[in-house]
Amino acid sequence: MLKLMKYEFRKQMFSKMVIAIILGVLVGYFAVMNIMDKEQNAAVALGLMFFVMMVAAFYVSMESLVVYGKDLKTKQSYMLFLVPQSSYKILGAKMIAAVLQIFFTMAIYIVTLGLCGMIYLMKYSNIKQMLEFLKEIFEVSFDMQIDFWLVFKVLSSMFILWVFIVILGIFAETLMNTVLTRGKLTSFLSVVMYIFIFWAVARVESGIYDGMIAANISNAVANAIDIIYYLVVDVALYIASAWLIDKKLSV
Amino acid sequence: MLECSNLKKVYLNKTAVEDISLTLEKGRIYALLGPNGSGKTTFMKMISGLVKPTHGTIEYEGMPIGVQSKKDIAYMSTEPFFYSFMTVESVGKYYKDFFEDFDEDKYVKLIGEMELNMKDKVNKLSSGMSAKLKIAATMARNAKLYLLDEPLNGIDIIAREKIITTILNAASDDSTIVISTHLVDELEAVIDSVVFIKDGKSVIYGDAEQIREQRGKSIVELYKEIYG
Amino acid sequence: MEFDNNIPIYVQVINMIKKDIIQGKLPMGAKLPSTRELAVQYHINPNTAGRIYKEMEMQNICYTKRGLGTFVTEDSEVFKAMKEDMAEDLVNSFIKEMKDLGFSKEDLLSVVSVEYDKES
Repeated sequence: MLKLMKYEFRKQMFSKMVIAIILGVLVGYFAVMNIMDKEQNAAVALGLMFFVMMVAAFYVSMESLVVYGKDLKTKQSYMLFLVPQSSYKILGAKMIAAVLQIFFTMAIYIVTLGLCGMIYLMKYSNIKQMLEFLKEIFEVSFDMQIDFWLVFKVLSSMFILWVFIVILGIFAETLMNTVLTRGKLTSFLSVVMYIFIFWAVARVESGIYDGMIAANISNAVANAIDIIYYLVVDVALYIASAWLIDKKLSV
Repeated sequence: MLECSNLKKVYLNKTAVEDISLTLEKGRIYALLGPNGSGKTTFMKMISGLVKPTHGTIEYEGMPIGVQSKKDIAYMSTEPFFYSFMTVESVGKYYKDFFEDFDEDKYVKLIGEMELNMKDKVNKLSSGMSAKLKIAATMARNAKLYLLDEPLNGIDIIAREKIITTILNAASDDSTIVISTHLVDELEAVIDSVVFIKDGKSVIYGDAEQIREQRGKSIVELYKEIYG
Repeated sequence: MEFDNNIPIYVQVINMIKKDIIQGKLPMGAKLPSTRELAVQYHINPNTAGRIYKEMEMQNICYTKRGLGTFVTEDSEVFKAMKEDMAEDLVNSFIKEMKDLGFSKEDLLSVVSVEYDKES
């Protein structure tokens, strides 16, 4: 399984590096502009960073699906499916790799934003002020924790949703290459199905959430159940995809 | 060692394999003969587990095709199939990572014999070179059953000799080799059993020498008669 | 390796080995290659290679020492007979072809005599 994952990473390593490099350059530019007091240019760099992040987020999700598509449709598929491992392991490795990709990308973003924050701090406060600032953070740590909790909540729900988008995509692609075979309407059908499943899953989720709020269940618990709900859906999609590969896939 | 009965594979709009029933025996070298599009590739892909039959059964050592059979069966396709980010060296690593029967020393030796470079990028190889790489990687496995789809395609005469030598070196009492080809004369002396496939059906199969004696014809002549 | 499709491959290879023995490339008592080596050397099927040794053993051209391999016979009678056999086969087919061309015995002998002198 680890070996399978190793090769899944290898297939997509390049783009992560490109994203990290672009963001790194932009951070550097941002830092230099700040030092030179060219605020406008620094703001442009920051704007560009956000733009790159958005595009890259989209690209990273797409890339997992594009790679999977190649693993199903091109001769490259022989590489993966001649391997004497069960389809559950093959797809499991693929999905975990895809999730970790998302995780890495988010980590790159957090590091980028952290760096920008530090640059601002260094610019607008001297060392003494910065130390005081840090002291302040410790002093009001209780308040800060709440903020951290909020940040964590936003990030985790973004993460969960992102993972769901990719796993649902993998399921749709599997379906397209097994049961639906390769007819003319296949791609169209799978897009329709993707949207439908996405909508249905979100519908059920908001139903559950509203129900929990109405039943006076605390916000934290409701959020946790929300996350569990998505995890269950992800696992169900994984099992369904692996089963389809095992029984139906012809490459 | 391998038994297929009434194998059939239908794709959306065409039948690739109509009806193949045959038994492969241990220690033999089979020629799988037939023109392009006769169903040879689909047949091999069904045995290797890449394609699921629409109908019929395959039993390898009494088991259905699955993880266990994939450990023992080495399939080599006509087209190159390695990941484009790989080098000759990392193809070997990949095989070592996933196939217990892969013999690293044998791979190194074969790569040398085929005059390939470990550092060469897979996607920079000429078609002849990548055909040699496929053979080296596949034959470096000590598999129980080798399925070689058109191993001589696009390869010059010198390299053909090397490939035939490699194949003969892998032949043993407990390994079986199936070679699909439409170049029968190159392999007439190498094989001891034949399977003729026509329009997705196995028309004649058996011991090559017996067939020659019964029909008073060489396999090449028989090939011309069946498909001519 | 080029083979004649009309003659069984094992027969063709046996004849090649016999020739090597007669010419002394494979001296009497010499060790013959293993079945696999033979297969690789002539690019023939290993089972065919096995059959070749079996046939040659039946004709007493070679013998197998258990665990050691197959060896060329050391019996000079067998060697002589083999040489005569091969010569007979060649001459017979030559005579047949010459007959087909309408040569009488005398014509044939004189042609052979003239050509043999030219060669040497």
